[in-house]
Amino acid sequence: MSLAPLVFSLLFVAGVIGYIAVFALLAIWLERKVSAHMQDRLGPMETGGWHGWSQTLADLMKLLLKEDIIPTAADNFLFRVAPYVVFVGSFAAWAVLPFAANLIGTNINIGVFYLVAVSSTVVIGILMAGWASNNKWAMYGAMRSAAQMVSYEIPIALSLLVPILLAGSLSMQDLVKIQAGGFWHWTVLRNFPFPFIAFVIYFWASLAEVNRTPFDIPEAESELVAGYHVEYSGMRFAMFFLSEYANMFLVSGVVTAVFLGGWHAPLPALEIAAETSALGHAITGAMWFSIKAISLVLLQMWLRWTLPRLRVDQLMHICWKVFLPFSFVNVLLVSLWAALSR
Amino acid sequence: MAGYFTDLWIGVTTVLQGMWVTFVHLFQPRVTVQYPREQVPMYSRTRATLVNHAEICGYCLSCKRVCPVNIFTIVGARAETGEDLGLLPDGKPKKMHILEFKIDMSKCVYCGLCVDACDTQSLRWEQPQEKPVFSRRELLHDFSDMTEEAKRRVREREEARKAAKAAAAKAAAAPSTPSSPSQS
Repeated sequence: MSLAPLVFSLLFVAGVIGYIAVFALLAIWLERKVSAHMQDRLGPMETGGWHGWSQTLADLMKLLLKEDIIPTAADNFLFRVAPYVVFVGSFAAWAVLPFAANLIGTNINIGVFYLVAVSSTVVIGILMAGWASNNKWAMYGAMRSAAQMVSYEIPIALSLLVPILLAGSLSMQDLVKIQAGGFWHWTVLRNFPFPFIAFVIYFWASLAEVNRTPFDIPEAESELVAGYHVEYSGMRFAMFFLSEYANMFLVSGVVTAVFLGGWHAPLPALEIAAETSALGHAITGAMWFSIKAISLVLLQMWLRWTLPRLRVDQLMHICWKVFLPFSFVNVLLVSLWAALSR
Repeated sequence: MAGYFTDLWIGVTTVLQGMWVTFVHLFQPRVTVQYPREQVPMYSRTRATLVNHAEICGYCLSCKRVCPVNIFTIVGARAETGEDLGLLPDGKPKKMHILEFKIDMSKCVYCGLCVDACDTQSLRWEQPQEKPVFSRRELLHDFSDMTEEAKRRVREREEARKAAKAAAAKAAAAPSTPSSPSQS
């Protein structure tokens, strides 16, 4: 029984936790700066000196030092467990994110299926949080969030079917490998325009999955105070916040892997193959993957500070009457194309 | 049916327009003034702080009575019959030393009632001279115009007068003992 795979898995898990933590710190600071500059103001400037880079660390310290308040009438066990269920739902899906050809948590042959299945368990955590808070506004937020996330699973799955049809496999690494050779081979530009439409639909549906504006009714600050996490304070709230940013990177990572070439460089000349140097490939592959995923995170932030919030009926209309028909027809047409070109 | 597709088209185009606007604003100069490192220039006719000119203050205490926030701490002492403190604007002689005239600007609500109430117009709005401060203590301004030496003399004189008065009151309450001539 060799220990090497176990050690590799443990190192990978530690690495991913570190990556999530650093990314969350960076992304929260970046969100505040981007939103500020888009609104002609400055954002954090004092904490830590240069443009307030350690503002998030300061906020984290503050949250850690806060009193742990649990409402008297709250369901104690569910209240305590809910943030961790939400975190585990997003964190577990990171196991199939392909950072490089030799840098993936586990290369199971049903990668995409696992991803969609595991990220749906976040809904359970959110309902637990809303229910256990013993607060009708938290319950409203949780119900809306559950409705939203469950409805948008369908366009997500249907849009992901398009690259799966083109690659012929559910494995994440296979989906990345068919995009080798330069950005013109990326799935988003193949068989135009169908994977492009799938890319757009998946991106928007994933905004709904992570409760970002314009789909952020569950945590609408001006309407439901904070929706399902209104009763949470201190470290428990920090856990929800961390899960949100982990989820943001997760869905951006999936878009990158499946549509935008994953760990491939935009030009073949810039790439270091795994055969040439395992470590070199791991580093440059992860670098390309991160650059693309973080650009998509920036795009999510850009959209957040541009668009107003959708009403819940508008949200449902977009899901069931726009995304669903389009992605359905998309899948039919891609299957037809694939069948005819065989 | 046509409405469905036009709505969709409008949705897409307006999102892109909005994104262009925010993108452009990302590179425009910010309007924030990082006070106190940068300051908005103050015009010479700014009237943003209270100043009391103690040489024409008549110690009427109207400002203290009218202030809704009680920011004034005023301590005075009566001048002696021979002392000349100058004239107030209405021609009458000034009769009170101003030992302390403290205004706590950190509490001031800038209502201006004290300036309106001032008899002699010694209390006025003027242009602030000081830079921004980092401690509230530095916002406590004292407008007494007496030197430390003068204040000490007047305070000692007041204390002696009070002691003499107390001694006289005690002597008057005990008539059996012959009262000694009081030193004033």
